[in-house]
Amino acid sequence: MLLLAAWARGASAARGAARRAACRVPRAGIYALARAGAARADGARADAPWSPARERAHQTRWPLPSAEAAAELGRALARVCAPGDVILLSGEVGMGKSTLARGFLREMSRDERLVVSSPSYLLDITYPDPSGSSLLPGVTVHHMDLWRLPPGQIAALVDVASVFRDDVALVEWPDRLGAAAPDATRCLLVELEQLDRAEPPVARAAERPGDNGEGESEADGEVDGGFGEGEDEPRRATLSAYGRCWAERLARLASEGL
Amino acid sequence: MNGALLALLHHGSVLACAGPSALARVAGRPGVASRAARGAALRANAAPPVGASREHVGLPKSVLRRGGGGGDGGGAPSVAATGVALSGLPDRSRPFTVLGIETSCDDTAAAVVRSDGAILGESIAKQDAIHAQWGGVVPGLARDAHAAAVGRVVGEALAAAGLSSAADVDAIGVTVGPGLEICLRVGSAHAIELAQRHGKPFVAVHHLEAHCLMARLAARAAAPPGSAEQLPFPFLSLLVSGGHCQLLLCRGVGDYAIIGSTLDDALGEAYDKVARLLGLDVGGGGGAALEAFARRGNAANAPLPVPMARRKDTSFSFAGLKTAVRTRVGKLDGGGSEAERADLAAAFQLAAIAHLEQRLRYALRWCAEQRSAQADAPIGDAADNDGAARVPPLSALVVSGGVAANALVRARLGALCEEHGLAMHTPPPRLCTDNGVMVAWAAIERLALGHSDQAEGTEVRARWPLGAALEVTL
Repeated sequence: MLLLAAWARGASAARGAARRAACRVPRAGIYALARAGAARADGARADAPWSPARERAHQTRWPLPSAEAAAELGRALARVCAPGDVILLSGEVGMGKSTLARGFLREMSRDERLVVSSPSYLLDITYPDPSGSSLLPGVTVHHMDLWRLPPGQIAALVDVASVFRDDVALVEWPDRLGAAAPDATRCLLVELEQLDRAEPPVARAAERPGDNGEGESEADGEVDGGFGEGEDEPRRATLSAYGRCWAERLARLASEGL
Repeated sequence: MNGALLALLHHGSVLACAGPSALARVAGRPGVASRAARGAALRANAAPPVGASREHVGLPKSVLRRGGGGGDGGGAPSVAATGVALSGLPDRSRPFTVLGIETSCDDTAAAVVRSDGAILGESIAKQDAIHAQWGGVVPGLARDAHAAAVGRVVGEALAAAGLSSAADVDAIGVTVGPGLEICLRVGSAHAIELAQRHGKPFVAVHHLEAHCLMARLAARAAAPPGSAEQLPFPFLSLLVSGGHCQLLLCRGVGDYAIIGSTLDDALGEAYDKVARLLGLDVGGGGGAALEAFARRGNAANAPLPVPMARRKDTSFSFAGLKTAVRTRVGKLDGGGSEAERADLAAAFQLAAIAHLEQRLRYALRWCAEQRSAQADAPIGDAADNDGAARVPPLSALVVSGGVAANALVRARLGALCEEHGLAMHTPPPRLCTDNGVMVAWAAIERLALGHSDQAEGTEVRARWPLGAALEVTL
């Protein structure tokens, strides 16, 4: 059992290293883009991922029939992540951004009981890995939320250049990045929205392979009983990649199924 | 400045701020839940609360118990176990002044506070003002703007206190965590530089400890001069603001346990987001706007369920309630009439505060169970050298943070406290936000107990748990 666990850790570390090597982005590129972005008066960048003009290399849609499905998507993304990745979580209040982030962080840290609270006021909550036991050993994950900031101000409070280059970042309300937005090729944009009630109900996402069938009776953060309204109304996630790295991983996720 | 504070005279006592009674308390009578809490903390695989050996306050200890570098490690260093002055102490035979600096998040703040509780001067600079000045932010410029802000704010606080430089204060304290790393570094670097340049005792302060201990300063300030300590340990501290929702057991300086925290949103954040969902003008603060709007509604017309009603523990959760409001608004024509939205506001507030109250009820019940378990422990247990003494009950519940200003919160929690024979303290809202006063006071409390830190080499800690998270189930 211990040997298997050690092998799994070693294998995932090797996968992480391979992903890092494949996806390295020249450092100069980020600063050049930041300087170019700073020149715009409104702080927005023409080549930001969410700009309609921006060409998407790959796009997929995932049905999210429940909060658990959003968490499962987060877990799947954690399994394919590499340092330098920036996952942009876009969507209105209550669409499931933090639920997805919670699934991601629990999978990354291998701790199903990890408390992932909202960064709306604290702006950046970090999840370091001092023991080297996460899916990306030694890599810090940042859970950022720009909801209460004007565009670009995050760069005054967080060393975004270094975070986006070396760590993994989950950024809620990414349209507020403004001039601080990273190179789009490292970004995965996840847009969460509620399904139109006119659309037919979608089938539940497939069970994760390897599930031992032991579900939590009440997962942390989920309310029991009376929140059938809102919490379990179906959502949809649209995942957009802007570079080869994420396009390949998205295609793989789509073919493997969640 | 508050005239009453300035009129406070020192009492010629070594522990003018903490009070000689506090020393007797920590020396002779164990905290209300210390033994059982130790057991609970061990079960939670956390470092045991180090406030156990209270009789050692003031005596030098060879090992400084501090969380391991770079990780979650342990909680804030316990003064009860250490009492070591690594950078010396001010002359505590008379009131001493401390410069406190706070830069853990957006705002830059500093204050000069005297050990008897007088706030001599303070200043704060809001981040959005700095940002507006610099426009689109470029990283290097941002750092310079921060550093300039700290220097300016410290200068203003000193000037307000009638002091010309940091050489005129007796010690320096600064928040070194938790918070945003580059922000913490700016304040910390400045404080370390000042401490070294002027040879002052230095205290590395924990942001949440500062929030907790600030209530003791507020209680002291509100009491008549010369009166006994108003908020003795141990007490419960409920911190409810935009960024925090935590229930803490405060057993002594440096000795805290987390009874409950939020699994998702903080209460102040939920209030703010719901206020916006309901289309309210949040200029004066979402919480205040929602509270006012809710008074015009009837919760019974749009009832919302209390979060996690079936879970018998002390965790908080508000995200589901927020989502439920969003869904309801979406179903109403055009977002609903004003009356419908006011009803929703009232329902949200009722459910949120009922949830708060239920969690507190569970916490109080759990504390009582721990007390009776401790009382039942056999006399002569090595861990409790005063087993025959009655275990003192909690002195009070402190409710602080922006949400503490809410009238319904005060009313409901006030009634709960009365039911349990607990005093309730609600410090003035202006002291509850991030400020330099709380940092200076936290430093004063530590210095008064003979503790100071090494300035050189002090690292900031973006993540820094205040204490062990207790497993509380009923």
